[in-house]
Amino acid sequence: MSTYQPSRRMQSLTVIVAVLLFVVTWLALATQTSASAASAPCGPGDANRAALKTVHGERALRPCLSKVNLKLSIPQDGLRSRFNVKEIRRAGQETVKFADGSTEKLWHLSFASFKVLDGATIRTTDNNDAQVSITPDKEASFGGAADSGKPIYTDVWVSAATFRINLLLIGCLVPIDVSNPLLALVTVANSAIPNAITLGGCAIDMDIRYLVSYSDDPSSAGNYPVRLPNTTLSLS
Amino acid sequence: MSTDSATRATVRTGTRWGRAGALAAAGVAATIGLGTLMSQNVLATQVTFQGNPSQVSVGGLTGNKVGITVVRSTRSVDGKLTTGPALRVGAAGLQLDGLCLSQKQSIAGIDYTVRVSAGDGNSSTHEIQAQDATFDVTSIKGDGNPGLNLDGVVEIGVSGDSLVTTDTGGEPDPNPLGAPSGTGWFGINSGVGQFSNIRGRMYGFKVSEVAKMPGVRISVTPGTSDSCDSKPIQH
Repeated sequence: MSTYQPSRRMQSLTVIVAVLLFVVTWLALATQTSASAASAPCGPGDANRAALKTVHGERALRPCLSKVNLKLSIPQDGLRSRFNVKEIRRAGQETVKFADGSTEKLWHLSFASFKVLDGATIRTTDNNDAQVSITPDKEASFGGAADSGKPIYTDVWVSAATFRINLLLIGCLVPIDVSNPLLALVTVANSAIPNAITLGGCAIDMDIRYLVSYSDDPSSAGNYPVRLPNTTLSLS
Repeated sequence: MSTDSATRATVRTGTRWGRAGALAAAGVAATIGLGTLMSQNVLATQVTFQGNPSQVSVGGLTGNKVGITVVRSTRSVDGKLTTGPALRVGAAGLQLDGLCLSQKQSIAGIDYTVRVSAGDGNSSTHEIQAQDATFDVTSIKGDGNPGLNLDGVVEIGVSGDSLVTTDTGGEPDPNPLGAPSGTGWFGINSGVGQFSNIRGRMYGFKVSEVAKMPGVRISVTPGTSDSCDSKPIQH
């Protein structure tokens, strides 16, 4: 029986080809990994990050904004209160930069707590590929109070907003646009009262570009500025 | 024939190139296959569970440095790889109170349910601990109160590729959830996330390091009735 014996040259060639194959494969995978890791999320040098400040404490924020609209809607159901808002403040209009470098004038609002009582739909409207829905069966709250009793403030930057608030004589009958001077009046009234009032509202429509809620003392016990009991997070 | 020549005739020396060639060809094919899957992000180096839609339920989940965004996820549908949107939830550190994962498999036309569960049966402990975990879902529901709670600095509306979860040497890892780049990809970032009584539909689960996972049980049952959806939530 004969056994094939390759020449020394053939053996050397086989080893060289194997080493070359290994190097090429490693380089291909390494290049791909570094290419995906190298891209900055907000343009070269992260230059497209927004430069924002919170109303309370002037906390500096540098978010990289997605430019996706998150719509919070609570339709009217008679004159029944469907949300509560405490210490609402309108800081004014600000030019805000998005991740792609484009800008938009947004209204900046702040509140100590915003509590949905029922009927809220929270859903993105222009995300790529599919929309994100946050669906509480009833209640949801943003902000509130920490264990220490200190308020946990929430700031939002919105492109549009309309409220129906139980206010003075107009009750929930008249929608108040975010640009309405009446909202500025509410802001002044809130600032003047030490324990700012909680307002009840019947309906709201808010196009949110960015929301930040900040608890200075996060704890496993849970100060939780965002509370979504019995809630489904889904994609559709 | 002399004894020497008989021995030379029966004892083969040198490389068996036929056998070695077959093994080398299989090895090269496997390497190319794995490389291709990795290049397509179908197979990451640490994937533990990916493919067909699966049911998941968890008694409680506490994560630190939590990110949530929309990604394009590769999955297997009827044996074919396809790409579709998924909600990716990631955390730098994860503690779970019980875990159940189940998936329907068809072998030779017969349906089976593969179910993996873990936990210590105690609803007051988060006995499963892991690092750098992500899971792809199309829906997730947190029952009761807290349900889905977020703590620390919570940001809603940031771009998916800017989320901060894991870090290397104190520096945040770039795009840890592998989100597509550019605007139009919604993201949520939070210092701490706490979810309770979770049920969801999942496409993938990746974890870099499982520190503790007591009470692991694996079952393969004919039919589709043994899924996590049909069981009480594991603790």
